[in-house]
Amino acid sequence: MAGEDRKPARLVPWALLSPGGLWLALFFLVPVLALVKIALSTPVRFQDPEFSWDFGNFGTALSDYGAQFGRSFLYAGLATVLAFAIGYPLAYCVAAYGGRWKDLLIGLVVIPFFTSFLIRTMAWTSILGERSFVTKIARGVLGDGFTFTGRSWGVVGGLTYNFLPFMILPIYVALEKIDFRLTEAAGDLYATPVAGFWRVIFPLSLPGVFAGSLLVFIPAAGDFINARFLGSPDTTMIGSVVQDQFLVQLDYPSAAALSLILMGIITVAVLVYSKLFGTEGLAA
Amino acid sequence: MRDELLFRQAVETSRALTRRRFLRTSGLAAGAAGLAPLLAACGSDSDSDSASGDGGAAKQDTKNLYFANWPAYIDEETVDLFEKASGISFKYTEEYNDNNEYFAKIQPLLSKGRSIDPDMLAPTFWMAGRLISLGWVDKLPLDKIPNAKNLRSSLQKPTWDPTGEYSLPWQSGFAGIAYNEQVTGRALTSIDDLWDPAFKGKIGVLSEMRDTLGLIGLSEGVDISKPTAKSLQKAIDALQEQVDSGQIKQFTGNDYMDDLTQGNFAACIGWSGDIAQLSKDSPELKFVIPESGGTLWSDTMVIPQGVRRGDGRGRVHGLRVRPGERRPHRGLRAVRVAGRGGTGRAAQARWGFGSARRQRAALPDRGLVQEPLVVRTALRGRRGGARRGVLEGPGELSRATGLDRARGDGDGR
Repeated sequence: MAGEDRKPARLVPWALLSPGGLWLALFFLVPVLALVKIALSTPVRFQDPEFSWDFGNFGTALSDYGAQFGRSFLYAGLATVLAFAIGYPLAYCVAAYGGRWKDLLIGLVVIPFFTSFLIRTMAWTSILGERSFVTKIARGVLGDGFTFTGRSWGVVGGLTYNFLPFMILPIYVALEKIDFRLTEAAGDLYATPVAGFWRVIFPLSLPGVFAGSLLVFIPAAGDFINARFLGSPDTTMIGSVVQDQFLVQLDYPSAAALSLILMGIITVAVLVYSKLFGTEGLAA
Repeated sequence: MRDELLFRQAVETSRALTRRRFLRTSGLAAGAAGLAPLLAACGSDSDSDSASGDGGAAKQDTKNLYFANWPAYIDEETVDLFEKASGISFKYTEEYNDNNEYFAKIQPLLSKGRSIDPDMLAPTFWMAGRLISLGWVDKLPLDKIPNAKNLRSSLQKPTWDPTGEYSLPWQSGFAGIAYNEQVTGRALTSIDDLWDPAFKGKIGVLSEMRDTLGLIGLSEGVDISKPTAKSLQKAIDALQEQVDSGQIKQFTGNDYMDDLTQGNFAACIGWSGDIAQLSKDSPELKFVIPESGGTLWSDTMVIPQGVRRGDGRGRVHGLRVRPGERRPHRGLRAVRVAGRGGTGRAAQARWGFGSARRQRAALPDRGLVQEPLVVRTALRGRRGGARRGVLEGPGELSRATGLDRARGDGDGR
């Protein structure tokens, strides 16, 4: 009797989960499995690839494009750090001192990004072009041979710029919720302003930093637009390789394998990152 | 000998096509005048072709026509005019941006014997050759395109369409050296000029390897009309050397135009039509066919398999292929064409064909038509070999494509 009573009750959580579960299955699990199937296939010229348990795609993908993988994560990591270094002070100033201008200021951060990603990146090719005044000034300082585009710093700069709002916004949201009277309280307890920031405000804003760095790092690692326009053959990222394999070489299995490897590495990186920094901040 | 012949043929072809191009650029008067007899010629409705494709698209449709072409390739008025004159609803899109990319888009359906939405496509000839040899295109209703007989004989049964039943030409042009004289400070005449140390890091090459490797191959003495993996390897090595040394800044699609105009590129491999257009506003931009020779491309019109069959297609074809238009076009420019081989033959050719903003490619060859992926095969073979990461991985070869589409969208048209 009792068991029968409990049974429907036990199903309730599952029933409540089912819409989300269904969504995940349909739009995540199925596509990923389809990708896995393609990654294990053999390419057939001008036809769909044939499924053949071909694990070799993963091996060749890694051995052929290891350099691009490494570069992608290096650039994405640098861009994340830079975006943090630029974005945090900005978000802090707006949250702490913005007053009634807060909304406007955050709006100003976002407005340029209403323009297409592509257009903005292409604009940088002119701003940092061979004959631009920015380049001329930089050459005055750094020597005649200096160029922005076609170099790794050009690509990293482009990534930083393009993903900056994704860093600023979550940090701003986290900071905005903080009661800044806490700094006064810290001062009352003999903390210097710097110590008050580092021991009170910064830890409270960590969830924003955590979310922001993921939102910058993940898309930056898969990006190919910046490397395309601001880079050179020496700065190719893995995203370029994937899109090329898919659209030009028509080598779907290699492209699928590359995508899965990229997904795998990012997943592991995110898990490690959240273990190290994230959970503590999120719990706060 | 052969080269010279080819070259001469190319010039003549371009002239012939240039005339045709006036149809769209110099206005509709000509088109309109020509339309009435045409319509009369294709007045018969609804003969029943049994379509081979499935997908329910097989039924007769003489009311709609959908032509997927490259950007900036027609006077938009022509579309309206055609609609008015024919009563056919004409959907004209500029969705073609790159041959490989478009192929990737249509391949999943066509390879399964199914049909795609457009009634007409504009692949470059080698891609037309691939589509024809795969059997993914239908025969043209040549009985409804009486003007097809006005084509030069060399274009009536071209190598990529040996029976001449599947394709008609749209436009043609060359790939050669495009340079910004303000940056170079001198005239360029050969591929070796691109490798001048003074231009280090300021050289662009096309991601379209038929042109890039074609031109470099010619300068290395490779017979690109009979390419083999081995002979092309010479060109690939030469290219790799310039990539490694940092001479080459980028592999580009049609976006080389911006870099060249802004002076980011001193010189690059480019397409004749683009420079003809750009030099109107930027006279410092020059186009030259290198001394060792250039490559010829030609875009075609084909009908993908098993689509709605109606008379509209015949009419569009008919509209274009008309003789006797000789009106000069304001875009025409004198462009120096250097002769090839040891002939020392230099010709002044006038042309204004090949409007800008599209990516396409060609080698004036036989082999690549049949084996359009030979370049890739050569690269793939090397991938696992002693020197890995050819050109930073074959991926680098034409990374432009996906972007070019997006970029094309952003371009003002």
